[in-house]
Amino acid sequence: MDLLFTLFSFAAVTGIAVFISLKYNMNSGLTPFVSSCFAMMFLSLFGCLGFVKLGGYLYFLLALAAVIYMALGYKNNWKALSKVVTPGFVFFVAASVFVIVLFSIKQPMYIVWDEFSFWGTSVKLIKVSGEMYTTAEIGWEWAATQKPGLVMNSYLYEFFGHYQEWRACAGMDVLLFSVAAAVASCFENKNWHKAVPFIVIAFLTPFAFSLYNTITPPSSIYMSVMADVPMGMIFGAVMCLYFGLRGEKHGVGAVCIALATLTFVKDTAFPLAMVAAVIICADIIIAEKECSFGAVKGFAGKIINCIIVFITPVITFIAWTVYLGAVLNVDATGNVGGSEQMSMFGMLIEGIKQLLGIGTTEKFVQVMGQMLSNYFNIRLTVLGSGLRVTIVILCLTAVAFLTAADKRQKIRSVLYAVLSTAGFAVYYIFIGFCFVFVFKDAEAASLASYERYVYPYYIGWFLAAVMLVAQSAAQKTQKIYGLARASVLAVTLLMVLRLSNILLVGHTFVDFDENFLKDRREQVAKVECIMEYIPDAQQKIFFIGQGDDGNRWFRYSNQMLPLQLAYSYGGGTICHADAQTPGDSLYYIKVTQDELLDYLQENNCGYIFVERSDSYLESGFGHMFSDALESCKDGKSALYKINGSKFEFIGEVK
Amino acid sequence: MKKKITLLLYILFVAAFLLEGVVHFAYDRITMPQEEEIDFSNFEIVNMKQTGEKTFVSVTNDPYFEMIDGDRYVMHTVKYILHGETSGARSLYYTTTKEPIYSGKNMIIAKDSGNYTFEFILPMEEIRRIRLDMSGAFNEVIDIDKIIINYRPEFTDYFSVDEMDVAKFIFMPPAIASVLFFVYDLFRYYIRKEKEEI
Repeated sequence: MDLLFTLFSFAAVTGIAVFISLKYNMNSGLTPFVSSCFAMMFLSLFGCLGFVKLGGYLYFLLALAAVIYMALGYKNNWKALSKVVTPGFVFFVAASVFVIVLFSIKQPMYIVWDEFSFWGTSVKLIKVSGEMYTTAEIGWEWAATQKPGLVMNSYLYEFFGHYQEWRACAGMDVLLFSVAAAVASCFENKNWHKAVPFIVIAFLTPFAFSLYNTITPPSSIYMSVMADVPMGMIFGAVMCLYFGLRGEKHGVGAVCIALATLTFVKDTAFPLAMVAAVIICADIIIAEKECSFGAVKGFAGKIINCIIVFITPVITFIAWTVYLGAVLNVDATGNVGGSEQMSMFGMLIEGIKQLLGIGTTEKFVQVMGQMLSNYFNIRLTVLGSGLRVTIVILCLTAVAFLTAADKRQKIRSVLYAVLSTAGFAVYYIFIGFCFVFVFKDAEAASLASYERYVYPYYIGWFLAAVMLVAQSAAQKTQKIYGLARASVLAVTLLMVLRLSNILLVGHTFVDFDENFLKDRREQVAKVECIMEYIPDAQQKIFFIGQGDDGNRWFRYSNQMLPLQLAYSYGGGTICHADAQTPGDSLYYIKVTQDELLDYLQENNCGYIFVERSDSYLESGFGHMFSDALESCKDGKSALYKINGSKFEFIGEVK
Repeated sequence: MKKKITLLLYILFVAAFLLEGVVHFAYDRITMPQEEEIDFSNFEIVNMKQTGEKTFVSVTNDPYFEMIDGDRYVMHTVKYILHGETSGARSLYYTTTKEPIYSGKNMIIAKDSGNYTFEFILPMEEIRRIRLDMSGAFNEVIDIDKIIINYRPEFTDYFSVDEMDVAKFIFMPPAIASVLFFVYDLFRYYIRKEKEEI
């Protein structure tokens, strides 16, 4: 049944995409992306207003209305309907249905830490609580200030039926496939074969820009709800959308929805949205022949459209900070948190000052030096270092320039090459500022997760360059058309060959080995067992997982919802205050018996789930458990009820 | 024309798959030696310690058995039977005369036949050595009943299809057709100098 519900959500997105295509005469390769963006913003808006479920119902009603409109308005109008069948659209539908059915069978699950700490948990929290994740109660201090765009995309596919992690992952894939469809949107149905290499490139791009070597656990690409890859893909898709819709009457409106969505992906998407906005504005003014705003034509029309494009991400960004200020009482100036507790703009000003040599700190010099070195030396993608990626992208824009159909397209290619490169420099410096001002010293020194912050730009930068080449390759009469297609075919082959050596059998979202998720499936079984013991517990559960670095605690916190896990000293690894701290673990929290009891009472804990015991727990607190933790020997798990200062055994959890 | 060629490619894909299965089955039936149980002395035991005659405990999360002298055997199929469950990928790596080093390309995921029995049909190449990964966890007991080479799989086993095969079947023919049409377009434009729309 959940498969049907997921397909139903997909049908709603597709229905609205077809409606937009027919009603506004937009290329159907582009509209799945516009439709996905619309869904994300629509649900985000209602979520922020406190009516997330109502928003969901309204969205599906809207989709139904669109389908009825088409059924009545385009009855027997096969000519109009057949225009919807473009290579990009066909790929979008085929790949999405394939993945939804595949995932309903293989049932992938979250595996990355951040999916449990935010990206996946927030979706589940909305589903089980029926309210926005920012305000919903989770049982511990939930720093849910991250933006809601992608969360709402996943929620859309979870709206009806039971919450299943595979459904959220499938929803994310549908979004990514809509981006691939956008890249190949300029090809007509009769020339579908020309679109194939572009679709292949767009499909492989997430792998190509986030992997550089063989990996032993299966890749989480296309079976994850993490934001980094989608952020890069949406960044690219915004520019592809603009290139694809240039001159169209409703083009700017669609681009603005996409820009707002990009801003709503996560905090670091804001600079990407600004880069995209600048490129689009420059293109409107310099390369576009006409871009009117209603009756206002000529240069004035262009300026008005530019203002709208430029302020869209700014307004979206401010709206979210205002929302957070109103709902969570969080600093509404866009505090980026971290070591310096600065606002976004404060960080930029301080960063620029130090960049200009005013009050430059040692940390700043070290981090920025490391960033520069990494760009030239660190192999981050299948194409190689950042420098190589830049060269490949600039080569593609050069091909787009050489094979452009007209002068305006040539100007567009040059503008894109110059501004996107400058934009990369700005974004790269911005990421450097984040390392300096947001990250702790140790993380900043090692540039922790450097690749995750950088490759989104590469992904978007690359995709938009490919789109420019696609526009040349799609020309009907082109003297050197072969150059555009040959260059793309070469890039396609390069990516396929490199990735075929990197992605091993059983290591992709299509064929991952079931054993890969064994640990997670066992956790699910344990949680189901707990829910049988205490199906409607009103009190929180204290988690004990000796030796855990917080990972298992996060997983159970997600998995147990709607049951609530207490913070459990930040991971649930405790030992008695008098115990000799184990040398092999950093995570033991020393507490006395009274401190533990006070903590349990203060946090309204009614149960203790001992997921994993050890000798420190047994020697320090074993006497408080009715079975002296005998049920937790040999890696077994058990559930206990707190009864004063005694913990009574309820049952084994397996 | 394009539709016909693409349809033809789909038919060729199915035909090639069926033919490969039939040929592989026939090849194995004709050339496969007698079924044989392999003694553990023929394997190097890596990242495990032996705790019983056929019982091992992993000391890292990457324990495996690697054949020491594969040249002694002609191997077509491999099967191992355990006495209990283990975690992690159950896979077989192999080397051939052409590719003498283990790599991810030469890897087969086990067919789980139930009762802790895992089967592998090796490709129609001269296999030199094999490596068996039976667990992917640290401190796990691996209790083995036996390892057999050249067991006789069922005819239908040669036609097993996994998710990747389905994906390839759906998406590969259009991709191949695209390349063919691209080459054909170049031929029309540069060799035959056709001026019409391409």
